[in-house]
Amino acid sequence: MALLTDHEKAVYEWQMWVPGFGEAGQQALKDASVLVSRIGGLGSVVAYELAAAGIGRLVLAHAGDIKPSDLNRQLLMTHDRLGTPRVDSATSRLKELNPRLEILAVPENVSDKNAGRLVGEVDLVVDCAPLFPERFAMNRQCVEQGKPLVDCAMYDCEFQITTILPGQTPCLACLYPENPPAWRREFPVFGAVSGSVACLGAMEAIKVLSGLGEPLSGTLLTCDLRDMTFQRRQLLIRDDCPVCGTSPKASST
Amino acid sequence: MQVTVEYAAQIKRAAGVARDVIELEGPCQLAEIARAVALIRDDSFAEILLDENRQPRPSILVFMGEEQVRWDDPNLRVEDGQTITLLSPVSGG
Repeated sequence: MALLTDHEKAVYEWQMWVPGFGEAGQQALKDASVLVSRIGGLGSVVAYELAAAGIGRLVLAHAGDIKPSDLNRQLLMTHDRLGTPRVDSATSRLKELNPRLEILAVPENVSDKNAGRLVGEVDLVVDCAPLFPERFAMNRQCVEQGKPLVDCAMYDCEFQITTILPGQTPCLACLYPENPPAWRREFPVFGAVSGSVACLGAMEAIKVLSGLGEPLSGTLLTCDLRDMTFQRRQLLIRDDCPVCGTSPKASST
Repeated sequence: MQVTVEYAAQIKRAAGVARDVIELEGPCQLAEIARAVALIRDDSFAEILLDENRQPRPSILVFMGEEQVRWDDPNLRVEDGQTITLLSPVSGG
């Protein structure tokens, strides 16, 4: 464990003033690693906020090159890098902000094939993927490896966020026991909507990693930015969940 | 009895409204509420909410007040004046 340098203490001075966080919280962030999958409208802002906060290491997983339709919300992508890999643009932007940050850039989307390896690289996962099979793959591995999972999602002007703590809260498969048939990869969204929930997701990661405050464990926060309605809802563990359930029908695969 | 059904995310778009207030015989089970609102909305709404057997899809989250409830809870009855919320799953990107 490398201790905070004088330069880092100067950079993070204002957040170390937050009661309950302090130098110990900052050291916890420096020692921590987070997987952000993917780095689109949600993940770009999650990664940027975590880089700004002084996280030690980020694993960024996202396949493909930058398209014009990315640029309304994917804030780590730039116009001059259209047609180039998203992870390269993201790495460059994040390093501009925080050159001390260690980044593992993986030009792949999370799948059942790579989820075990990618989740195994980190202390916490922020799920920013647009497709449920990717989300389910991360959820399975987080439950299996006992890693916290911050699940962020949005549609139109609405967003949802919850924090999954394996063994303590419902997992994603408790909530959605099947692949939702109506969901499509492309959907209406403003960058300000994905950015809003992404900031909350980054804050959840900071809280879980540092012990600050109370995360949204077992609680779904929903928001409709059309009328600024925020609601907190309590979630149920599914005893027969095939991923985290404890009944005889459940298995860990 | 009268029940208010609120919608969030994709199912709200399919409904075209944020909520419906429906009249039906009660108390009743949650699945009856789902079928009742499906009748007053179009096919795209019904496809999101109900499966081919006209049962509520388990991936649609349902809440009474601030608490999640199970569609298949045998002991749960919806009563006059209650509000339930249907929330369709959303993802990121």
